[in-house]
Amino acid sequence: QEANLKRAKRGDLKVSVHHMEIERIRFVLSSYLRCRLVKIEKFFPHILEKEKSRAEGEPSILSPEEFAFAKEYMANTEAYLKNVALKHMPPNLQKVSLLKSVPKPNLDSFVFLRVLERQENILVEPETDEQREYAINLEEGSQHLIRYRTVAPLVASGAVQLI
Amino acid sequence: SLPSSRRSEAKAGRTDLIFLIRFRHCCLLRNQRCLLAYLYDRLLRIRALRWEYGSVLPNAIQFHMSAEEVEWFNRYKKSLATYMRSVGGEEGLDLTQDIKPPKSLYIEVRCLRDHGEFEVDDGTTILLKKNSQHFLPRWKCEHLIRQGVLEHVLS
Repeated sequence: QEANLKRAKRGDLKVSVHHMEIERIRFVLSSYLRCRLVKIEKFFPHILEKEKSRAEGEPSILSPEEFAFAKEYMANTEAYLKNVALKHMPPNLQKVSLLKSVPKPNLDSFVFLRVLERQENILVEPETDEQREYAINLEEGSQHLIRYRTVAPLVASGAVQLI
Repeated sequence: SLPSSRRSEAKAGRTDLIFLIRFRHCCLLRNQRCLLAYLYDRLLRIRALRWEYGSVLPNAIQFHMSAEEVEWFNRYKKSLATYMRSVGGEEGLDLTQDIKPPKSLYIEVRCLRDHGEFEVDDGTTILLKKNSQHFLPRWKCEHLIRQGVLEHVLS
């Protein structure tokens, strides 16, 4: 009887922990995808422009479904603004460049990163007029606080990891 | 084109006007920018309604929306639904759920209406009667909470 109870309890715990794990995974996945959608909606003209000017072999930063979502969001918003406001304006004001009006993502903001693959001679831009640009080495396993723009290609290649 | 004497006359007149024209154009551009900012801010709030409230808007809110805004909302939620369906297997993944990280395995719930018997993991059944409170595994209750049968009690 006690053995049965023990087995039942252990099974129950395993099942519960399993479910907890599923919930946690579902949360992490949902949160990640939500974050991507929020960014797409926030910077939609710039993201679509980047996708348009993407070279042949270059991988896309969006999944095909995200690309479709981004295009639909842009078309929806453009059509709305045109029908509600722009078409009622004087002729020379009926077009507005969303690319110019919607704020761009700030690629100069500072980010924390961890180095996965050693990098040599990364050129750092001067912060003030007195400074000059200088080169640094990124040792494997080290952590840095640096402008995103400086390390953007390294993030894309996976050589560094943002934290 | 005008003869040179006429041209210089016209230029003299127009120099006065150029500043006025430029000023008026700046005003118009500013008005356009303010208007578009206002309209877009409304759209962002309407977008938030989909995420915080759900896909069916109550009449009280729709009353304050223009027809075009309602149309924008419908197109947005359709676009979002298409995307969510494409994620994670057959049924898709409802991204408007699981907003907060799951904290505990078991949660305290109160029954909002009679739901009958409910089987728990170890085989025992619980009677879900209106206003009864129970301590149940979270994952088993979630869909009942969403349906409005149970209410998560936060003490």
